[in-house]
Amino acid sequence: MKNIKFDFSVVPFDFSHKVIFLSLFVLGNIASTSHAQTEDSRPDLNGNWANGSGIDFVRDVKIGDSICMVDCEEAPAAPAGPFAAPDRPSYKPEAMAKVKDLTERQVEEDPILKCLSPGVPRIGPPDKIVQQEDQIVFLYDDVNGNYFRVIPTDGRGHRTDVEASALGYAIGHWDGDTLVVETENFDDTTWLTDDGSFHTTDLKVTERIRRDGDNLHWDVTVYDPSILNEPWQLRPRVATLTDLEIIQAPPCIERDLDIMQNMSHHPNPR
Amino acid sequence: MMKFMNTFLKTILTLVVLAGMPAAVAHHSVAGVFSYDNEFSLTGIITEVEWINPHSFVHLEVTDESGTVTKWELETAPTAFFRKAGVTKAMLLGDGKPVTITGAAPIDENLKSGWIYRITYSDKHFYQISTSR
Repeated sequence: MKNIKFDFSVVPFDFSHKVIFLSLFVLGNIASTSHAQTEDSRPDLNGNWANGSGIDFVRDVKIGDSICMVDCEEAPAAPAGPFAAPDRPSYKPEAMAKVKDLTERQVEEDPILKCLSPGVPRIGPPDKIVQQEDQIVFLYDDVNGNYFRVIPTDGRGHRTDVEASALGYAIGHWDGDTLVVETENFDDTTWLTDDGSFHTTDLKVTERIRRDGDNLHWDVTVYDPSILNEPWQLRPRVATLTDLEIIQAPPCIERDLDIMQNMSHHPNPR
Repeated sequence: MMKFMNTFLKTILTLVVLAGMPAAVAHHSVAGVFSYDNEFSLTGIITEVEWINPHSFVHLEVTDESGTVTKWELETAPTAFFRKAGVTKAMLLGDGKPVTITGAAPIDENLKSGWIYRITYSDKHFYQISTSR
């Protein structure tokens, strides 16, 4: 091997220091973004994540004192053309009648409008992640309130001694730099999407979550083989790191058309 | 007519039938209660904001030429949408001056309600919360 020698004496002092500091600066930035890690050398998912309010077409744009939340012509970053088609699972023919009925009666049947949990994956990527060595906590500020999921990552299996629930029971493990969250033990009170996409108690959901700098990639596959033609892979979603802290949500109050019509309700629920 | 249009506290209620509107993305209760094909425009005073989930409500008092006041309850986004966009309850309430609100009219025309697309305040700044597509 050729022995390369470098004579530092010929390099101006200021220049060598600039090179060293520049190198440290670059390395520091790489460490704090692309490869942020926890003390146990896992990818660091801690933080608040802007997730489009759980809906992929909400992108806030500030225009002077104005704020556009959806589809503003004035927004310089406004996407051209129509929205992408809704992301929906493919149902077996025998399940379609129920989907159609629920879709047509969405106002009466949508669990969210009854202040029930949105379920998984409808809830979207987490608003905040708190990561510890043996567990990860997902926190949400969703359309009808706050929700949480405590996800063990210590190698344990799914518990069988807990009741089925809207958000199911989740366990996690690391696949390289990707957190894999597997959830089951769901009840059947939630929908997969906004439009009557019901599921059974056999539902299983796999979320693959990977951090790339200030982006959090959320890739989800839904399994419900008795009613779906095939596993449903959701359109990939990306949440971005934000300084906006999650807060306690206001109350969720189910309102119906009769109340709206006669306007006799009391505006303050308490 | 111009005098009418220039008087902020007078009612401006326009139901515009928008033929050929692209298919709406159905979400939440909008498709079942409100019509994307009928757009309303109301000018009045916001008297209350119900900061609740799953949808917030804006109360608008509209005064017509005869001085008759009509109260509207206009439905809008969840509080989380506003919070994440940096819009507070106080910002929605505004300064008590007239605002113009556009949106989707109710399918039942007897309802004094609507689904808000945009609120434009007296100094012309606005919050666009939803659209017709």
